[in-house]
Amino acid sequence: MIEEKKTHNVGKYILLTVGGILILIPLLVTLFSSFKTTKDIMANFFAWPKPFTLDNYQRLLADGVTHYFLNSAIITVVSVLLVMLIVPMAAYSIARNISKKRAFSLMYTFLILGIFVPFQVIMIPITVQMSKLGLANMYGLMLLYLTYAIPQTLFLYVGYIKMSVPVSLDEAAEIDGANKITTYFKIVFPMLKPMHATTLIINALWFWNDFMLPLLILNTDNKMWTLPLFQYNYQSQYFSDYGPSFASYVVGIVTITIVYVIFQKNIIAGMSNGAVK
Amino acid sequence: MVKVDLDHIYKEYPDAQEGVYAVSDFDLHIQDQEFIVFVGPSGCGKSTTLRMIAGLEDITKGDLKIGGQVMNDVAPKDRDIAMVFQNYALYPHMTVFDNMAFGLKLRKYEKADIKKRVDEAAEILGLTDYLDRKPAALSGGQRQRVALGRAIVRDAPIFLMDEPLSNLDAKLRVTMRAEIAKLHQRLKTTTIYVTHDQTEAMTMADRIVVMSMGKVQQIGTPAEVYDRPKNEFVAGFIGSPAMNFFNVHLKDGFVSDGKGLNLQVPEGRLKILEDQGYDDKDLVLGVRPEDIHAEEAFIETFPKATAKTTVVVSELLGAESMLYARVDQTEFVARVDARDYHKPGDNLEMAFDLNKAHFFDKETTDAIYSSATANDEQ
Repeated sequence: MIEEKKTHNVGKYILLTVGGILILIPLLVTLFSSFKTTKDIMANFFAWPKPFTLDNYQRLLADGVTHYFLNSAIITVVSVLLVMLIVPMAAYSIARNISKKRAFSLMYTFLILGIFVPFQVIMIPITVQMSKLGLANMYGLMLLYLTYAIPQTLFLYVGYIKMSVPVSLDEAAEIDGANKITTYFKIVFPMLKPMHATTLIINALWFWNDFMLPLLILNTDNKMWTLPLFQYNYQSQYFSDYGPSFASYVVGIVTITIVYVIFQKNIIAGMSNGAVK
Repeated sequence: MVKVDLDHIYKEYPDAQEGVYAVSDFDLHIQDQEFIVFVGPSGCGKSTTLRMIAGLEDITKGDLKIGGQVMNDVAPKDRDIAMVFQNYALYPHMTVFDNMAFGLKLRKYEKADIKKRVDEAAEILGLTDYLDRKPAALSGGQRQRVALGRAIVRDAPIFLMDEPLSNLDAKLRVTMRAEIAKLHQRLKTTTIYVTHDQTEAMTMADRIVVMSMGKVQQIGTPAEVYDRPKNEFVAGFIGSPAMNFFNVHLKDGFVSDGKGLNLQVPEGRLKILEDQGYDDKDLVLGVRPEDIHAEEAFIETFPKATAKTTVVVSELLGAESMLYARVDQTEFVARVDARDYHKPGDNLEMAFDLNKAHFFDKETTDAIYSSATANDEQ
């Protein structure tokens, strides 16, 4: 039996290793390429960076990457905070009332339906609508992110509150003298920590890497570009400037990976707590 | 001094059928410092009643008075009550100290006062060493103590407890039962305690409220509900193992179930039954397991109230043993001395002490007592 299990494990490790390598290779190529000149990259795509050069990064700085990086950061952070401020609150009231009041279950169904609308379908109308409203700018983009994040994020929060935040905690707080707002901010919100971390990662990853929406909304003025739009700038129909392209990808990847590593711990830490039982 | 009065309280849920009440005509007057236990099977309305007192459920009809004041529309926090929940309802992200202090902080107590109160409560409950821990790092019993502590610190004149021990294992439940009783003796807080466990009700209560299907069946001291149950439900619910019931017919001074049981009714009891017109009528006979005996002495005392039985299952519990026995098709359980142990399959004669038996009307299921004592109870 034990023998059998071991062979089984070996197979599993081989599979995982191969999978790991397949994922790592493109990442390494990106990293290596960012330290090579475009000419070297064209010569041998997979080669070790030799000579090792920081030119690409200097070029990024010269082209004003900081500005676009900040644009992306501001849009991502503000959008994520907006989602975290509004959606859990809505989810709390829906989760607590959905079985009692029909209005809440209708509201929930309506909001969740957004999951099934493909972005491509509403892409053009949205662009026209936002520019007509004078919102073809960063504020408009944040608003759109909030809107698009609602269905999935709400779905996650409502499910989590129903499962993991017992009503008796609300009642205990009520008897302790807390009103609904205090109960939400002092009791419910902190208990949603694992879900905050989850939605934060999902949404931050999406907002940070998103290309289509910024392209549609922000392309009126290159001052408003986000990092992905800036990256796109190094590619044209006939020529791709690989060196700075890869360097800018590394900048994007490293940033969002740091965010992921920080919050991913919270997901696990928050899973085990002892409210009831 | 806080009295709690429940004046003919009704609860109707919005989605329930018209006229179907979860609780109906609940009428109870609780004295200051009293320990009241609501007991009944699940769904009998006991928790709903408690939640109405707490203010977590609306009262459909009737008045709830605390200290003489009608509280129907007063918010829970202004009713000056403390509540312990079945699942503890501790705030998982707060330490034990903060859990206990939360209510005090919201009520804007002085910091030093909060610390003093929490330290005192922790001292009483043996939680002093755990004040910095989070609930997840505590055992079930300790969590239950924190929940109690949260109630104690408030110094509220009324404690409401909703099945506080039902999440604990059997041994811990007995320990905590005693601790809650001790706590009540020490703090003298008026306490309303909900449970489905009749043992908890019997051991802790000053008065028990037995409920079934939204209605109060009987209110009385543990001795009263045990010795003089008002109806078949109370008689069957209080006591473990439950009272044996036999459908019998009374004729010529004997009750017989036509399936092998034929017992002579003692003179005094017979007179009461006959006076109330039960001669030659169907009745329900209730005999508690401890009133069925296998000892020789009892068989000699009640020679005409015995039956030849066969033991079906025999449980030795140490000091006593439970004999599940059969007379023809009639089955019953007897609690006998452990020395009186019998194997399954044994045939033996058992005596029924009908002086201690209970008789119930077949239609109304009400207990039949002499009209004189019945008047006393009014």
